[in-house]
Amino acid sequence: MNKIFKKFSFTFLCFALIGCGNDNFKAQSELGGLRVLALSANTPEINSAATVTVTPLISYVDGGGATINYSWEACPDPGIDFGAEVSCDSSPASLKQSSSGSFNTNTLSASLFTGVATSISVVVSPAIFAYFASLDSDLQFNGVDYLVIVTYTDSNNGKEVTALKRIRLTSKAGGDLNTNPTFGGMLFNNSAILAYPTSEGDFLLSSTSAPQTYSQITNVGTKTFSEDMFISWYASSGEFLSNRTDVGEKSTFDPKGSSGIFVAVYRDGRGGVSFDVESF
Amino acid sequence: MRLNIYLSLNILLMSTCFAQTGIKGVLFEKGTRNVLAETNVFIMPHKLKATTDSKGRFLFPDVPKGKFNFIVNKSNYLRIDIESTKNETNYELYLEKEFYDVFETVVTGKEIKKDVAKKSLSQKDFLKAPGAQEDPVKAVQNLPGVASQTFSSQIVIQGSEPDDTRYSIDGHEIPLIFHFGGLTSVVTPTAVREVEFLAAGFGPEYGRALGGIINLNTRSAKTDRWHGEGFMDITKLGALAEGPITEKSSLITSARISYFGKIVEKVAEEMDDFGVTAAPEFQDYYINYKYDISDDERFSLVAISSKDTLELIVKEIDNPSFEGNISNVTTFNRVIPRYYKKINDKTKLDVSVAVGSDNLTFNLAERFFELNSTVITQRGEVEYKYNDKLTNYIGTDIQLRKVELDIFLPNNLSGGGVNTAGSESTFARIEDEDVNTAVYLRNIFKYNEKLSLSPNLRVEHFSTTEESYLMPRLNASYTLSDSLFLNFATGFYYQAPQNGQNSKEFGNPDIGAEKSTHYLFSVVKDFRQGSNKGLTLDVGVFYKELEDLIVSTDDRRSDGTSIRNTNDGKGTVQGLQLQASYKFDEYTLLTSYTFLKSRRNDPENGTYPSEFDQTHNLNLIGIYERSRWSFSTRLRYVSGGPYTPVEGASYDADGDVYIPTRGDFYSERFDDFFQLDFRVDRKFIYKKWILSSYLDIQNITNANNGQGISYSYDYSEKEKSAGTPIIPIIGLRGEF
Repeated sequence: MNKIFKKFSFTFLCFALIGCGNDNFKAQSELGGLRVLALSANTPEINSAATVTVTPLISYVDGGGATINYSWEACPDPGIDFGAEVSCDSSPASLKQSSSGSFNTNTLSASLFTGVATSISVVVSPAIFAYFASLDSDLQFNGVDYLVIVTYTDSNNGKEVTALKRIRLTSKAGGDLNTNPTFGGMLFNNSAILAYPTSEGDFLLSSTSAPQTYSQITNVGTKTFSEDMFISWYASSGEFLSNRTDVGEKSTFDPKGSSGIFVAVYRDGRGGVSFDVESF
Repeated sequence: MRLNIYLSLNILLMSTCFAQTGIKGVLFEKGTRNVLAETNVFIMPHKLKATTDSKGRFLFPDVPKGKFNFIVNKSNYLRIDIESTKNETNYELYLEKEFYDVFETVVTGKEIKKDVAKKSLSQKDFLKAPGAQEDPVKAVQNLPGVASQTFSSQIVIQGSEPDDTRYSIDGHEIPLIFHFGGLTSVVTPTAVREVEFLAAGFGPEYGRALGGIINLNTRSAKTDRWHGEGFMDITKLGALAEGPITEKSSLITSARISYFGKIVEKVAEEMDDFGVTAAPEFQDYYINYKYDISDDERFSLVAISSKDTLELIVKEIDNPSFEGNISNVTTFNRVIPRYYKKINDKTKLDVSVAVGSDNLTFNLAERFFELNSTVITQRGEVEYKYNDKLTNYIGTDIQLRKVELDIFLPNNLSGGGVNTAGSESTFARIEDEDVNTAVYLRNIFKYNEKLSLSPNLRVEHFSTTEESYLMPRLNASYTLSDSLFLNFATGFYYQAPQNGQNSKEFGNPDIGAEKSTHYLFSVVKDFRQGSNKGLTLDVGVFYKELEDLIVSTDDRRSDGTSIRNTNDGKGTVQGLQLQASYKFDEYTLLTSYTFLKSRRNDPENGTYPSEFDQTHNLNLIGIYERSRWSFSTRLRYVSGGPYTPVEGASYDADGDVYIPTRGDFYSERFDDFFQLDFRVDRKFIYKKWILSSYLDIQNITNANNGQGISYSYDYSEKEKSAGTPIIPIIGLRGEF
């Protein structure tokens, strides 16, 4: 265990001495360039063949109404957590699918070229489930990921971004499947946000759904866990001091200018997601 | 009657002028209060002489009444000429040394060494090493073959990996040698007798390491009287006490505590843009009890404890996977009883056992890592001197570790040194028991006056892999002349999978031990011709063949489970190392230089430089000592280390993290590292105590030596990490 001792030791000194932050970089919460903010599946976890709709939340504030080409492919997770490339190149053709299209950022659902873009229909076929059924039974219970990889490209300058989304295949019963979390909306200083803030204050989500509990087979038997919920905050102008908060935790916002959009993305840490966009 | 009165007055007066009295006293060394034996003390102008006995006592039985002067003139001490005090008959005289500490480099080759691959630094070597802040392990970084690193808790030896180095105290392995990423090592420096550095070709006493060993040998207490010292610098303070308990037993104890965290905390409060609020603190304790059963038999008990604590509130940092409240506590403890007996003129026995625990708790928001392990290690050695030509050593080196680990963290991959945070945490509880059992045999055979051969063997069984290995090793020395020596060492080295690499939950239970074959050839030339001035030179070349290295893979088995690790890695390390020392008058010049080429190969990435492939590593040290002052400077030049470029990133929309796309492994290099350090020491010698002070200014030119890259949250922007700025460190030590 010496390696673990040493790595923790180094990491903490790094934090302690130099903070590990860098103010010269653009903040994660700052909207501007072409970005994928969320990919939401209507059913993040399935236990039989189904067509899953993936809804992208896109922002391209600086794009000025650019046309975006997109292409997507889907395949069993090649092992990204273990170093595999984010790609379906190594998957058998029978388990892969792909498609492409385009849209103009003027058509995104919210203002400032931000909002829901063209959704993606992923067919998790019986053939894919047949492959799934050939795997280790513990893996089947805990879930095997079917990966959706989407690439968006600005047709004007070729700038592209790639994002991935996991659709979890499991042998769990229907009632135990993961669902997307929900929330009422964004609050600013504990009130519904009705205009762009004129002074520093705190953002918070209202009426957040409770974390789901879920079972996993571990090396000491089946254990029950609770989801670890978190919120990501974005703004087109002004600055969130914390770009990510836990449920119930406020994120302080320092406004700049008099208009802009705010985005909150609520995640359950295992594929479930919901979001809200407010424009002023 | 008048005549009688006159005579009486005369007699009285004469008896006053010519009366004699006894004068006695003790002669001490100033500052240390060490008694000075066999030293001549003169009383002038009476031309009387006395010689001190073994307790420093002197006696002048008949000294004429009146004023006189004590004169003592002893080699290596400042002459004293002190006027007597009226009516005083008992004196304490203090003689001041010309030099209290003389910095010396390691002199190799004067006699046949037990291990030609070993270098050691004594306490006086490392306490004054520039840039080391009196730390024994930091001083090792001035030696050839040791990679130069900043803010690292690891010592990288001759192009190996950090995990290929083992750390030990009195031969017993410990999990950490440094507090907090290299701040200071885990034992009070003045409690350490010497630090041993074993590199390519090291002997059979040690194993489980492909690279090398750093071993701290602690010391027992001084027994002449009770001594004490207190010390402090900008990060910590501590104290040490030692002395005799009875005629046969003695005790040394020390404790240190840091206040560094309080400073960081205050700084963080004042800075809006400081990324974290932190309170890192450490403490360590050391006890060494020794009991001399007889002249040939002794028992000792060493206890050591170390604790590092950290709590962070992360406000905003670039890597979202680190956000949240973080706490970490790292402790380890060892109690080491040891028994030594000289059985007869030919046979000696040395046995010790270390019992202790290693504990690590890490919490990151809801995620955690809790490790509790019980550790027992045993060492035993019998030395048998068969005759003047042959000496045998047979020994055991056993390690038992019982581990309980609860973990709920995402898989974290750092291929090519680029970190990828996993998306989802998984839980596992591991209860495991490892036993590594080794038996070794060392034979030192002096074939003739010139040639000494040491064919050695280590046999070891790793319970984790259920494998046993034969590890033949050879040391050879040839004396070409009184001042020219040739050394050769070679051997096989095996290292069992570490840190769950072969666990079912996190690794691959089918993998085996890693292997390395070492070769070392060195030439030692001593140009000093018997004096302590002049040049000594130690030049060596080494080569290491690495096989069955454990590398990560994204391959899966047919049932979809991840293989995670294989033994498909291999590599080579080749290098040249040079150590030179030149001493004249009050000046000492030291040089260490390493040329290195370290390569790794695995099926997925081909051949690439290792992370610690520092082509050139040069240390130039200059020291000037005069009276109570010592000035030293160190120049370090190191080739920029390799790193893996990040060529893009994909957004993981489930975890809200970016997954970097790695370029060719270690295909780019950081800028070269250049650092100039300066240190000044000043001793203040008082009669009964000494105050030592130093100012150690690191990176006096404020060169930006960052050996890292910072990336923006999506890896689209990057910036060279800031290196260590100019850092002045002040230290004080009072000792009596």
